[in-house]
Amino acid sequence: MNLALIAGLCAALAALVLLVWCRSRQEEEGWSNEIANRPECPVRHPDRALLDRCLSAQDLAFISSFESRALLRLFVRERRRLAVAWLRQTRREAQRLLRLHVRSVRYAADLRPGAEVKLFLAAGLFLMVYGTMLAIVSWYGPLRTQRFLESVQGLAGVLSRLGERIATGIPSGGLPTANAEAR
Amino acid sequence: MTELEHLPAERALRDLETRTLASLRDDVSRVVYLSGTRDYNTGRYQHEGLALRFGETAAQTALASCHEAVFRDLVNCAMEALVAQLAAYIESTGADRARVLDSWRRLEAYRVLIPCNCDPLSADCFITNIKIALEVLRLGVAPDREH
Repeated sequence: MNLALIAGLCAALAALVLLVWCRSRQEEEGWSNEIANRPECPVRHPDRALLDRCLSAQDLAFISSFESRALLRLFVRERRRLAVAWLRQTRREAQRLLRLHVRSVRYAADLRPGAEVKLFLAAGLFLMVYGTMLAIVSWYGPLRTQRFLESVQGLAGVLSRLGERIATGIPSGGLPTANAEAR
Repeated sequence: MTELEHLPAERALRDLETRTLASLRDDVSRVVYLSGTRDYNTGRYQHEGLALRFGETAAQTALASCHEAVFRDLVNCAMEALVAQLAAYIESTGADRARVLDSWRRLEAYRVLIPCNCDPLSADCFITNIKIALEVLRLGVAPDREH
């Protein structure tokens, strides 16, 4: 009886998580498709300096020096939210770039399979690093050591470089001006 | 002198930086000044002196460019420096500090400091930083530190 109840609760919880995940994905995809349908809109990766500011150990030390739990909670919550927003925007821009590229090369006569495979691998790696970072950043709060912040910033560097590789791997002919600010 | 410096907008920018903005103490004061030259209804900057010397378009470009640059520096500035600048700015207004803090928190007047062409993420980061800085100042224990 107890086992059935636990199993039922687990199933309900799993269904709820799946529902929330699907809804957030639909919302994001809807937004993304809407933007992707406007090819005149330039591709713009968010500034890397913004993420460094969000995960600044110096700022954290300053806020911690006030020994106010409410202030520290506010600071960590807001910085985590901004870091997640930065990650999502970076992913959206990379996806948009890829969609525009797929659209432009769909009927291209001079398609280079080698370059396309390289681009596909970079995109796969990009999504993997993005997923890892998103999971790690959600731990910012309970985990906030200098080493933790340095690791996230290191991954952000990898993500930015992959974003740049995707942008440079795509011929600019059929795309809007790539105004990549990622460093 | 480079070729660019001969352009009216470039000369207006240099003039604005060396004459007006240099006399202001920090980036918070500069961004308040620059956003104050903007018409809230049209979003256009108005600066008679610059427009008379360099032309309306050049003045417009220089003010917008300066505003964006100072704002970007402010978004990227450390929290400790931002708190110090905000404290100095509030002090310079001569108004009661608690009253200014309360008004800024309730009215969120700092939103007018954001340039028109700012990306939403930078604007969000700026608003969040100001909110946190105001909380620090509200604690009333912001230590006086050198920058």
